[in-house]
Amino acid sequence: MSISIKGLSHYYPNGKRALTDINLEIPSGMFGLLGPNGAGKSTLMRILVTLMEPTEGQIDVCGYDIRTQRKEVRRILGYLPQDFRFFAKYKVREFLEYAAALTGMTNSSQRGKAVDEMLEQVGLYEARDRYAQNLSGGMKRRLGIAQALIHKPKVLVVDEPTTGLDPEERIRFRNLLSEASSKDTTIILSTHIVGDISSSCTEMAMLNQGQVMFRGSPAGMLSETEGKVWRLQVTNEQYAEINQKYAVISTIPHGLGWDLQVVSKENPGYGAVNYPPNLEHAYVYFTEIKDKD
Amino acid sequence: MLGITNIRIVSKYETKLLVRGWFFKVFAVLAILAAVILGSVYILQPFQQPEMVNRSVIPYLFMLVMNVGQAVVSVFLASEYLKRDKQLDTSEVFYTRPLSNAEYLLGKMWATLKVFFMLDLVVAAIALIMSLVKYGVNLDYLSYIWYFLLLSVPTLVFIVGLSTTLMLILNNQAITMVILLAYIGVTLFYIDDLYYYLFDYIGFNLPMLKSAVTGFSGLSRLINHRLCYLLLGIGLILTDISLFHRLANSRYSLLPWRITAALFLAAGLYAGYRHVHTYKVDENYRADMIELDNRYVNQGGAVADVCNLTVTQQGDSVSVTADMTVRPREDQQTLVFTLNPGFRIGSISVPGHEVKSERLKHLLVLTFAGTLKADEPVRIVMEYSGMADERICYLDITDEKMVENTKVLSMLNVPKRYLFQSGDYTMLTPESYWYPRPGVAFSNESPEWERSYFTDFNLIVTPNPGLTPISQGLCSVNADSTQYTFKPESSLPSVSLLIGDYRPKSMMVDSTLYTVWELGEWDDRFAVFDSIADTLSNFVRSTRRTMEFTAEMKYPFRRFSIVEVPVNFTSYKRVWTSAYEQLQPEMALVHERGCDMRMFQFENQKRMYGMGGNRRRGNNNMSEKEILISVFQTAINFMMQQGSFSGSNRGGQFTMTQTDNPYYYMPLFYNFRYNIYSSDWPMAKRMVESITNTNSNNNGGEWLRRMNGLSEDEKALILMGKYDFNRIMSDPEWEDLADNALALKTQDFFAPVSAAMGYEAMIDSITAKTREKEFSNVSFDSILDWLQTFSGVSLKEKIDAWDEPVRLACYKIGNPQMTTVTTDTADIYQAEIAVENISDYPGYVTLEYVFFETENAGDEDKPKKMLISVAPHETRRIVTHWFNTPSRIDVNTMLSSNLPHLVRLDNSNWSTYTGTDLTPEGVYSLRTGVDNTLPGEIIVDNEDKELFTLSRPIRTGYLSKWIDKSREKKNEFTYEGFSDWRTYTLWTLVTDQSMYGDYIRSAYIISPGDGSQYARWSVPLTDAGVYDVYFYTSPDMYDNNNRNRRWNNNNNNNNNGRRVTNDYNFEIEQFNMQDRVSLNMSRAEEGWNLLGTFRFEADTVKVSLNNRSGVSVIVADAVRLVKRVRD
Repeated sequence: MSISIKGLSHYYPNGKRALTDINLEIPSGMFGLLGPNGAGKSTLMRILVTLMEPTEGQIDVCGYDIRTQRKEVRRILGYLPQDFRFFAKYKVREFLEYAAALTGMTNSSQRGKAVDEMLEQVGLYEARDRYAQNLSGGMKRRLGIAQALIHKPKVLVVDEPTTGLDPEERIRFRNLLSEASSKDTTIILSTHIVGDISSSCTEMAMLNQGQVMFRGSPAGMLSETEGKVWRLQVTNEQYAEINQKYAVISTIPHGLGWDLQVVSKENPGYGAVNYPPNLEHAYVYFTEIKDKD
Repeated sequence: MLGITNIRIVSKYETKLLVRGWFFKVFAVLAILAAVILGSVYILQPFQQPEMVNRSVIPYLFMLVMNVGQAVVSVFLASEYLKRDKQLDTSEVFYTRPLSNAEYLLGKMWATLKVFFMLDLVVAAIALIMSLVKYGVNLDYLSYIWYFLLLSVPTLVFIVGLSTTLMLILNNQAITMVILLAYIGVTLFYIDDLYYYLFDYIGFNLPMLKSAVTGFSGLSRLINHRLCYLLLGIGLILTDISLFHRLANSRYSLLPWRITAALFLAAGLYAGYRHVHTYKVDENYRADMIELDNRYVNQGGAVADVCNLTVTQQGDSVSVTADMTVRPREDQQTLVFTLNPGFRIGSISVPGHEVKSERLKHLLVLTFAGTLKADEPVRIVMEYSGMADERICYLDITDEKMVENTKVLSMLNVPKRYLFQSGDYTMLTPESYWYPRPGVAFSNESPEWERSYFTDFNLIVTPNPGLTPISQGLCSVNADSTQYTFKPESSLPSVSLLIGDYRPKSMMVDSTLYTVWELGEWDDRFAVFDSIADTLSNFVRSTRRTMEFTAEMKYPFRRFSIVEVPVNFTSYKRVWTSAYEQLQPEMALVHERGCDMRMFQFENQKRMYGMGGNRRRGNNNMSEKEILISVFQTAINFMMQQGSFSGSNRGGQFTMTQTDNPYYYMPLFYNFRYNIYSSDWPMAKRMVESITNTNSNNNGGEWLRRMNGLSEDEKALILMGKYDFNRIMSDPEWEDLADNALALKTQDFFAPVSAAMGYEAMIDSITAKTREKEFSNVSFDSILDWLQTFSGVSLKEKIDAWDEPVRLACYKIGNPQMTTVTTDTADIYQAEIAVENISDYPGYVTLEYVFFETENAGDEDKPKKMLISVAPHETRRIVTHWFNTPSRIDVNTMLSSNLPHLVRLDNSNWSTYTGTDLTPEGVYSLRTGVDNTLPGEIIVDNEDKELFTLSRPIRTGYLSKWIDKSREKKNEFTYEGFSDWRTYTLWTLVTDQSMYGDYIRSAYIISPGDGSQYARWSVPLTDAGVYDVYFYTSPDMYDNNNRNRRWNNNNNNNNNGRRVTNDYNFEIEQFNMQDRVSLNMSRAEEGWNLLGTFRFEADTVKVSLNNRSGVSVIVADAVRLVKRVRD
């Protein structure tokens, strides 16, 4: 396994528990980490990239203990933080050069070459002399992935990378990640956007309230949700009643009433019929239904 | 392991960030602009800068200015830097790189330092280029590096380290900045020389001007001070590695940095401790010397009749053989000498005597087997050698004063040096005790040490090859120019020795050899006068005649030299003499290139005279010769001015001080020529110098008194009323007033003689006796006997009473009366004035009748100054006759509590009469006292503690309250100065002779305001009736603007835009009935002004003056109620 997390817990100084007894084995390839905001994804990411020290537990990254061998971990790590928007006053190429130099690429000509290749790869070569802070959101995110990939890391951690991107940039970004994952790299993609996982990850885990709610493949997650999604048509009065009792995930007006999709372990009645689940349904099931057992 | 590569990488990219920031860009532009302006003012501009600027002054000046700016800016930058690190997402991706915390932080710190260092170098380069353009290649290039290393590097490293540490601990940029800016402000404006400049991390006040002759002074101490901040700065930066908010690469990787940081911080603190310690060691050493002096001050006194000195320079060291003949002052078994403690005594021989010697720091105690007879000559030969120790110099000066800095060009701090000794340059003045002198150096317990005597000196000097010695006397050189012999024509109080690469430029005028000794490294500046060499002698001659005329003495020596000495050479004003160390017999020691004396900056003077002269003459060109003559005349007049005035503002209190000109010529004519001694009374010399040198206690005139609140004499008198006289003389806090106290007491001492024979006749007698024998020791007793012969008054018993407490009398001085009596031959003006001593102590007053220059008293020989004795509670009436009206009478109340101490009674306020009979001239005793009041009038003055009250100040802020409180504490002298531009937010007590008062003429002043502040006079009435109410004022005295308003009686707007008038607004109250009256100050008269007529019952009447007015300042003085005889 590329990354092994055992018994990981983390508490903030105010006593708030961010992560509780996380146990995860993350293999090579693209690994999705799904969860709502506040689930503890970012905390886990920051621990994985050595920005935070966990309160308890053990993490092994490609054979290196994250507590005692941070330098080695950092050497094989690439990291793209959430909201990668605020830059110091560097030009695109300078920024990437700086990031490259800090990874140990001390030979300037080699570094220059690597930087140019990476800029070509992420489609920023033309913008190389622009100040990074003047780039568009998508370009900034691409610059972010470029700095994370510049030294060809074994582990790449990307935290909520597609938030705020338009569909075209989102697809472009996913493709970049997929390309990177094909080169024997472990990519941990933390997101609350279900589509990011479904389109690119073969393995995933779902976090909610600091705990792992699911570990497996997206398909496995779907299969666990099988039979828990219902479709039904109701009147206005019935809709209000159902909305009180169940997790309604789709509401489409239909004649004088509503065409609803509901996630529920039991049949909610009102003529509900089973509906084939997608990852969004599974996400709702695991975040809102399953943990209430 | 620390990766230099990583540090370089971080630094490279962080530098780009810094340089691209607006903050740095703006600062860089300002710094370069400041450098160009500084360069234009101090290098390219033709005037005002000393010629030595092309040496070390320019790099020092530029780095000092730059350093202050960058100390402030680097705080912003360093804290901003970390703050940005916190905010930027991009920082986090760098934190996940494998570089260590140390590499990252050191890279960042180095980037900050690097940009400032680069900017420093740019600024230095600007200075250098400008200097090259102006002065050519003869520059002190090393200074540029020295000042960069001494000023910029430690300052920046320390402030960057401190600001980042604070930022990391406080995690708040605003608080960090406030703390650090306050720290910088305190450093610049308050800390000054506290703890020997220990806290001056910027080096703003630290004396570090490099002399072009002797280089840096106390370089090791300087380096240690700067090292302290460099080490602390490095320690703080290393501490930041541990404080940095990023997980370290490994668990133990911070430990070595913590240890290293602790070591650097400890080393920095140690350097700081060492800095203070070296001063403390010196101070303790000086204290030990004083203690020894105190122990031996009354032992082993002697007079040195002959002192033959043979000096051989050996590298840095000198070896001296002193062959002396001394006479014990009394029968005694020991002789005590003072010799610089740095010299090691090799041998001592006393032919014909068995003697045991003991060296106690600077003292040499010779104990003889038998008793030496008084005045029996004893020959002593001693050999000593070594390096002179500066710590013996100025033992009488306080440690605090010695640490205080002196400045040139307003802001460059000059290290103080009192002697120099090296293989290249040596300067040993008498203050260094470079040859053995009988007695101790100083004592703070007994004035015995002050005795000095004339000695026959002879000096043989063998300098290091290539150097020339300078000393007093006729100089002869042996054939191979290796040995110089100096033979003074007469006995001298002391000799000095200077050895350096001196080049003379001489001229002989009327048998006197005038020489300028310039240090060889320089160009011959006096060559500028070569073209007018023929005419220079005339100007030398006429200047000398002017001095001789003013001094009423001939110049006593056969030569006079102006000798160039290092800029660091410093001396102090001494209480007991007007002579400064800058003047030595036959010579004046002038700082290198005359760097602090504009008249010796010939090229600048030449340009200035050229331009100024042409302007004055309406562009008629002054010829080169005329210009040179003007420059030369100005230069040789440098000894003519007695002093100058300078102002200072501390804590809002503006004070004018008089600074003596240390080159004032009088000591050359008097102090080095005459000597008064008394076997019993060491104070004698000081007293005679004080009484005969009337200029030495110049109080600076009325304007200075008004600025400072009190004259120096008045301050001395207030102290004398409060404290023991000997304490005033010895307490360093009052050293500036000690000579005033001494002069006043001396005047009082001689007063009986003066009263008997006339003041001027007495001074003439003392002067004549003093100058009876030049270059020899005159006994004080002989002067007293001499005075007794003429006056019939013996002063010897007053010597015994000298130590008794000073009793201050106080006097009421009547308004003078002038009666014009027409006689057969002429109009006679009879002046009458009454003086009443209202105290229990006897005293003296002097009256001086002053006439307009165009008129005269009618009898030139008639003394215009007289001294009158006034017994306790006695009133004296003094009647004098003149052929013209005196313009004023100056009454000096001498040892009195009167304020002002000196009252000038201008004739415009005198009562004038026309009469037919003359009262014979003389001093009469009156039965009645001086009464300036009218029948039925009641006056309440501001000095009346019970009947005069003031409103409480409205103060809300703690700070202002504290400032007020601290000001109250500081003011020993109660009365404050006045200046037109100052704002008086509190009632402030001032004195002036224009004010009303019994014997203290004072008033309270306050700036105009909203009317909430008031002064109140409560006048108790015993009779009901109709009263005229008057207010005493001197409307123009304290209100400059009022003088102008008198010409156009207009009104003003106050701050609120409301129209206010120039009126004083009064409220007159009795039994809760109030009347409001106003007095238009534009029309008010000097003296009593009628406010109105009121009917009052027999009870207290309250007259209140508020502070709402359009005048510049409101003066609350006195109120008078006069009962009308008929209603």
